[in-house]
Amino acid sequence: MHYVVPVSVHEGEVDPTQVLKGLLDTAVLGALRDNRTYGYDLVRQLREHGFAEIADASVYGTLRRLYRAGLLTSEIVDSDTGPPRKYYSVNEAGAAQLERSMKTWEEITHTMDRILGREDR
Amino acid sequence: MPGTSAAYLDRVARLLADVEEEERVSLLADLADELREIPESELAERLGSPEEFALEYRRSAGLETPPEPDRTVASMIAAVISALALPFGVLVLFSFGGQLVFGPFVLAIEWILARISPRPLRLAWSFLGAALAGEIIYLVLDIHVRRIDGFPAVVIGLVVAAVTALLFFRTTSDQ
Repeated sequence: MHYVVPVSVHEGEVDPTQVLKGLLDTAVLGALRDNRTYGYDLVRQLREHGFAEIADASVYGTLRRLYRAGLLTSEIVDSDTGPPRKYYSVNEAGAAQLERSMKTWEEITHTMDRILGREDR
Repeated sequence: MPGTSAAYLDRVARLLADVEEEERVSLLADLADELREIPESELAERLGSPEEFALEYRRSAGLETPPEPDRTVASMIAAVISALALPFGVLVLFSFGGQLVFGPFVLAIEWILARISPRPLRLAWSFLGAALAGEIIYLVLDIHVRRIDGFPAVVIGLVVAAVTALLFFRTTSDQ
């Protein structure tokens, strides 16, 4: 299996924004696995966990795409501070997809650790 | 919500007008939450322009990106036709009696051209349409309705022009 690690304009340097963008689907599924929430709250959570460089519109768009792909369920919940919010959570298909993505991620990190000689540190 | 934030939200709503309503309402509610917390001076830095925000949302959501209308061949042809037709519209506006004969047809054509033209021409057609509509009403009242002429006819003509301008702007503004 081949993995392409995006690099920035500086040859050989990893561009964290591109890497995080590639992992956004998995990050969103992971954040919603045990935690039902709405769009902006998810943006805040991801930012707090280090996804500060990801465009907020990407998070909202990813939510919509994953929902349309049948990996999320949604529920409209009344809000005290404005219009009703659409809360998302991971369904069975989403949880299965997350498991597969996590395995892929482990393979990637394992491969990278081996290449970088960090496996046994 | 401050003016700039409200304008930002409104612009995003227009740019995503074709998105399924439930999703759009949900997105705008989330964005409104966010805009309440972001100082207006940091809006562009945090979210990008409304156009960039809408485009990134479409890309991430896997939605089709609508073509930029002003860059298509059809819109370029429409712009050329619109620019060539504009002097004729002005000619009818200042013709002696031609307004009553050709006015309604010209007004209908102006309406169409105002919708398909690029922004500067759209504004020109909107002003021309408003002036022509007001003028037609004034002439009809002044010439054909004996009880309404002079100042009252001018006032009614101005009101009709204002209403026409409003209609033109509302239906030809950026979607």
